Amino acid sequence: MTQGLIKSFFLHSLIIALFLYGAEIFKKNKRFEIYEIPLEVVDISDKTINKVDEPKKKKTKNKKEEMSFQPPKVKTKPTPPEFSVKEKKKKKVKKNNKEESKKEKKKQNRVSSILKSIEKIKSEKKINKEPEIEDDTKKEEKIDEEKEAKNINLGEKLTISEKDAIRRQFYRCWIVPAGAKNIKEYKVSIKLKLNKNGEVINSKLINKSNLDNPFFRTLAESAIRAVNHPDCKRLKVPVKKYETWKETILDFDPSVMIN
Amino acid sequence: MRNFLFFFLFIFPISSFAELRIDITKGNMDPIPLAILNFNTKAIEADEISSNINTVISNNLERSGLFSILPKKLFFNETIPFEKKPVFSDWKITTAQGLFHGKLNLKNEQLVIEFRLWDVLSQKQMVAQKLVTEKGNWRRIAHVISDIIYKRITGESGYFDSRIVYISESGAKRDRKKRLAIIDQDGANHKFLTDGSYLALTPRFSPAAQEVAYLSYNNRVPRIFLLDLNTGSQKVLGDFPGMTFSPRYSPDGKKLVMSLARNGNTDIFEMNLDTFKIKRLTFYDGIDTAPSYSPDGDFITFESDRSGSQKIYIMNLKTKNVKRISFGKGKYATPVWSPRGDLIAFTKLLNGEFYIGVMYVDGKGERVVYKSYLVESPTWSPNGRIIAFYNQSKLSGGRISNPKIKMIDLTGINLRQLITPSDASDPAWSGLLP
Repeated sequence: MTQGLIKSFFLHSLIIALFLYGAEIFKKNKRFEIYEIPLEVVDISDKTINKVDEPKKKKTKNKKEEMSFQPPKVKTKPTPPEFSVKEKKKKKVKKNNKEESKKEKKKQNRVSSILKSIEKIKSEKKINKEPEIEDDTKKEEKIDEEKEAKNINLGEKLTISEKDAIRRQFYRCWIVPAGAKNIKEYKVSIKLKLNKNGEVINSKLINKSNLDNPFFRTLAESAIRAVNHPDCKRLKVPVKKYETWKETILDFDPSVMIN
Repeated sequence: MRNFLFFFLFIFPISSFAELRIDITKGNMDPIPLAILNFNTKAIEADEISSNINTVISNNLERSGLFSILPKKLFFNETIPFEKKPVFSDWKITTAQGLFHGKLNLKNEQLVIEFRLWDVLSQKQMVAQKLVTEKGNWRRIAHVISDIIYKRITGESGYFDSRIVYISESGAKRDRKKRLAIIDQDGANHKFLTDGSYLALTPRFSPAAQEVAYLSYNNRVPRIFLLDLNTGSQKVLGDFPGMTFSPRYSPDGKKLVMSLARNGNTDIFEMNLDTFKIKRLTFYDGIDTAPSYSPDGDFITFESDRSGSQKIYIMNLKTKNVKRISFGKGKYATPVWSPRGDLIAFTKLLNGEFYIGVMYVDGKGERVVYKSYLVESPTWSPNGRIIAFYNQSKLSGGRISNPKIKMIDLTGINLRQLITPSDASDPAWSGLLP
């Protein structure tokens, strides 16, 4: 009995000591881990020189040539007459109307752009070519790729801003069933398998136990549709941190939005 | 040895290998884009019915505010062979997330409809059904199909196969004619139920939706009339001196709950429709009125001024315990329990303005869904998702608009007007038709 007590006392105090001291002793790396922060070091020259960006193919021979640049002359701002305050408000109203009409035009442009893309696909269907992606999305992808290339691989974890970029992507893709009964009590978790380009290869619902509940099923289906949405089929992830995000779990939680 | 194992079980799990996990807490509340294709038909006669059914389904789903029906000009094909799977890549380009198609046949005045609903993004079939009805029932079958689509995608039962009974108003304000009328929830099949020779007020549907109870002030005596919608026959339930609101049916249709004024005091009573015995439920010296049953029939909600101002209360019918649930500023009135059981809709008056609001049954989460110069008489759709009410707005020059019936989603979006032949007030929404 006493031996058992002694052993128990010894073990408990050892556990407490280890918790206090930390689990660092089991790590192979250094005792005190330094969390790396992405940092780009740029040398600043003594003089600032205005340079014009030239395309890579053309090599400039005379690097010493400088483009002369004259700033525009500052014009004095005319003072409006006293009665123009109301007119400014009218102008604001007109601006708002113009903005609304611009939004309507954007909607119409969206429908017409979809129609154009459909016509292109119809004509190309005979040749069995893949549909062309719009110029805007191509430009965005190029910009993203350039940014990723510039990123320095300083750690395996995703930064907060990288995670936020993924969250923002789903604003457009996830239609939340807001009015469904007790929807804020449910959470849906989906496990994604991604290829090196960030494209979703496989998606799987993890918490299936509540699928007989029609409202949980509605939420689960909305999340699965979001993951399969064309705008979210390829996640905006840093290519060089593939090992970190190749298997990702997304937790869809409508409670924050509904509250 | 045991101690050693115990030691390692506690220590080793300290360093865990966490996988990447991201919480998605924000999305959008856009309507779900749906593609509704024409039915495949064999006969020309079926084409017209097919087109009509298609139109009713599209209008129902669009009007709910939860769906956006894509224009047909975006489609590659306007029909898909019923036995074949759609080419989902084609439909993804149109931005459709749901795809509906089917086939329709006419056989000896019988309408046979088979349809499928697909989830375009998940590339899975959601629903496949076959319905048979008489040719003349095409409109009802369109509502039934709309309810099936609605339920499958939202998880909630639909409300399209239902009707609204209301008070139709016409004539000058000093000589206003008020008569009972009935209309489908989409504004079709309008019909007057009374001739207007006597005043009709506050209609209520029975749970089976085959009877309407309403209050009439014939010879200045308030009486409850029961109107059978199938036969058109009416009977008087009784004279109820001191009644200001028509009674409400219990969910099982066997009882009525009402408020009666006696000796300067208004209390709530319950009548058994088999025995016609009346039982008093509240005993407060003041005004307790406008009662409404919970969907399970175990509770009622009502308005009372027992706290000094009009507020909302709930009562457990078994224990007779009364609990106040509204605590905000202003006066609360006409509480109505949602068929879903989770919310109570009410009218509120604050600073000279009227509101339609909802709150949870414990009084939490109070919020306004609509406000206007005058709004009253909220009534729930059969699925507890839409609230209908009537309102009057203030116009320029101090004039007030005529009463109209409006509908709004419980989230406060998608306000719509029910188009009626004349002015309309006091709506009451039926359950889903049998």
